[in-house]
Amino acid sequence: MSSAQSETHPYRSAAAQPVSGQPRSREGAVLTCADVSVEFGDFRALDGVTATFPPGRVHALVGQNGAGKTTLARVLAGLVEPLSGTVQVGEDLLSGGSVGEARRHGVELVHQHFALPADFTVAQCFELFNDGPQLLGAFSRTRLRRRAETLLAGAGTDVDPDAVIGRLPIETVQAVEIARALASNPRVLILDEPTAVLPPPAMHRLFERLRGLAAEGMCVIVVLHKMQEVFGVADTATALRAGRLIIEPTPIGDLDPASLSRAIIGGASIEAVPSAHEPASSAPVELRAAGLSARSSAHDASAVDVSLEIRQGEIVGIAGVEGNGQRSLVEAIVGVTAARSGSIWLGEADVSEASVRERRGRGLRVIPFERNVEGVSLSSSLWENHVAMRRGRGGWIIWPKTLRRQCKEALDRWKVSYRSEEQQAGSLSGGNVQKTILAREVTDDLRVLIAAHPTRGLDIAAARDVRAALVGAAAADAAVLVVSADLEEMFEVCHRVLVMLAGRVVAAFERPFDVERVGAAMVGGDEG
Amino acid sequence: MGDFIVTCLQAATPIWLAALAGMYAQRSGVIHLGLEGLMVSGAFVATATAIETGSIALALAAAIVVNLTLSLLFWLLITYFKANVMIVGLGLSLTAAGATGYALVVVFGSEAAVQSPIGLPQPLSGLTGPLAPLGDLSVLTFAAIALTWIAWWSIRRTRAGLKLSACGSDPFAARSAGVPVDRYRLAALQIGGFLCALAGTELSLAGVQSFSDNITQGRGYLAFAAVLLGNVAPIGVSVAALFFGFAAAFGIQSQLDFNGTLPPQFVLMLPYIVTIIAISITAVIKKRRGEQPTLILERTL
Repeated sequence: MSSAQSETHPYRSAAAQPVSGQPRSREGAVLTCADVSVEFGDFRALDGVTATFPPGRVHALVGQNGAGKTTLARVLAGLVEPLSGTVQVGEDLLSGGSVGEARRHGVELVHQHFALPADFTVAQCFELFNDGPQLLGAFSRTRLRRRAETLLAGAGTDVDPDAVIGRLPIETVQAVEIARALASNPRVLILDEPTAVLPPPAMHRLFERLRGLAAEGMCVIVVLHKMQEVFGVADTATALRAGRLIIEPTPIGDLDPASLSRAIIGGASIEAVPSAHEPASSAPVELRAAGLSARSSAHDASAVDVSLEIRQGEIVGIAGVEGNGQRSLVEAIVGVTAARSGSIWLGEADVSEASVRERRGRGLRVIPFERNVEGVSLSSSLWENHVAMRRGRGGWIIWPKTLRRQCKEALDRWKVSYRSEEQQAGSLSGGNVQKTILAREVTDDLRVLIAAHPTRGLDIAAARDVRAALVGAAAADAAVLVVSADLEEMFEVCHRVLVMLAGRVVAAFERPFDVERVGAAMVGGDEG
Repeated sequence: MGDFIVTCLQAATPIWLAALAGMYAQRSGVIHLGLEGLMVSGAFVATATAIETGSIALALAAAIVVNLTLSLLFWLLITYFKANVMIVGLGLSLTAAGATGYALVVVFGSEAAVQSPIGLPQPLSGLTGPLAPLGDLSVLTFAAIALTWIAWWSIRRTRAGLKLSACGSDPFAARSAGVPVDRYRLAALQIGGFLCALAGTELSLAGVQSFSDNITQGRGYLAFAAVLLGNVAPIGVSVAALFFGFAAAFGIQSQLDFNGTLPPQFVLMLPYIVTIIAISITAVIKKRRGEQPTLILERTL
């Protein structure tokens, strides 16, 4: 690491010394994988990956979706058994495919979506992952609590050990998961996309932690998505593409963001999304919510007294840490959840009491939060998914031939790569699933488009197409509401950004956006 | 009054033991609809062995061995052959009902019932005075009390219990903690097989000392209802089972007390009606709290 870099990158300079102050009973270890291949069915997820990760550094693992980052992380942690190849920790060769063995050798994995049972308390989670010797492992509640308190304090996390995981905010769950991973004093710590769920300030804190752990001698491997994060925190970068190792662990000083991006994408350059034109100030309001309060049945805060207006051709973003009422708001607007109070207007019509079907009839369309659960039926064919929400035309009788043709036309127009309209939606990649949803939702009669996490988990090229579709919808005079955790994306496509915190809209921002201020508002530090 | 409490406990014991079996299974992530089948097989094997050997210990042992084998089969089908848990459970129940009825005819040449010369010991049978009714309780009722405590302790106060619960509530998390999920499920099903053997033996060799065709009469399903009603918690499940025992005892008592005025069919319906109401209420409460209804979903790798 050059001295120039430590000045430019805050995480490097901030974390020169160890954070925990606890004596470490185990030294960090070098983690090596040799010729690792993994197959899921006939899909080759990893193809002969060989890499060496020395201790005392933060290693970034990058690649597009489906490149095999998560699979590699899971192979290293023993959760996925490789078809061939070996994993070695320090001097010890692991037999592979055993989490218990990997953990005994000091390899801990922090999952992207966390692996803590939602109905367990924090203290119980620590005990679940406790590897100390004991046949049945009998404990008293006091001992459980005390152990959890010690470990949480050691990890610098302030949570009630008796709090139930499912009721904690996502950032806290991540802190608990990291604390439980550190509890066994690991030699190697692997984190799978830890930044996906974090607002900027929490991300900074996490990066400082990781720098500190590496300074203590631990081998830290982080799966990351964004170049900015890679160059902010990592000492080395390793890139995967389509299951193959494209760049072996290389000091970050020898790389630059542009070339690393190109390596990840595989040469093809990605056009920038054309920016949306400012809507005319005289453009009529297409979507209006006034004093709207609602609560989704899913895990989310209630939306409280939310008022917003979106004009024709305008794209408005809702930023916020997940679980701050975005879902309640979207579901109330769509009509899946009944509003407790307040009103919703589509154009001139009050639709507060209207059914989902009636709202859709007025041109309201949605790209839902969970594309694989709410957006499509994975086990149904593409044409069935395509026509599922189009009712009325041609009466009650289904003419498969016509519908298949309509589906084919729409999918071709949206450049979905598919084999046949009869193919199951579940056999498509995430990006193509999202495009089939767009093909169904974005039609000529579209007036209001609500897009929830439209590019989450999509690779760069697919994400670009989806963003272009949002901008295109606005250009065709629709009102667009985007809910996203990705601030860069918001800033790229939105005219205005509202920040939700604890169910309320707490701040509103206009172009040009300031990432620091929006980020601060997300955690309640700025009133915009 | 003492008589009534004893009747409650007697009626509750088989359901209670089977409900604990279902609780272990569900904690491990297996919805156990085979409780009915394991009870009836336990009841038959225990009675047949008691008749052939005249030994209660051998009768219990035989019932346990058969049920451990059936539970192992259940586990193999759902683990290695990836069969649907509900179908296998129901299949086990239906097959066992048919097989025991058939075996009754083949072995004993009877289509209705066979009497056993011996019954389960009654540890308090020597009591006199106001506690005398307790003398009718079989040893397995006391075992149920002890097993409830053991269940509570093992689930709530041991790491093994936590791991078992993790297998049910988040198998992915369990696997990430290095828990061999399938083996924990096997263990839970084996404990369940053992408990159902006790439940079946209690049913056939406690009071009536006989085995009749379809002796369980849906008690296994009632036990499954108790698992849900008790929220898969050891104490809750036991309370639910005791409640079903109370309902059954109430049915018997009401037929004696106001013979003819209350239709017996209605009394027999009572536990099921209460179950539906209670489950509806808990579902509403969960919904109010914003929780998802209880579902066991496997997160895939």
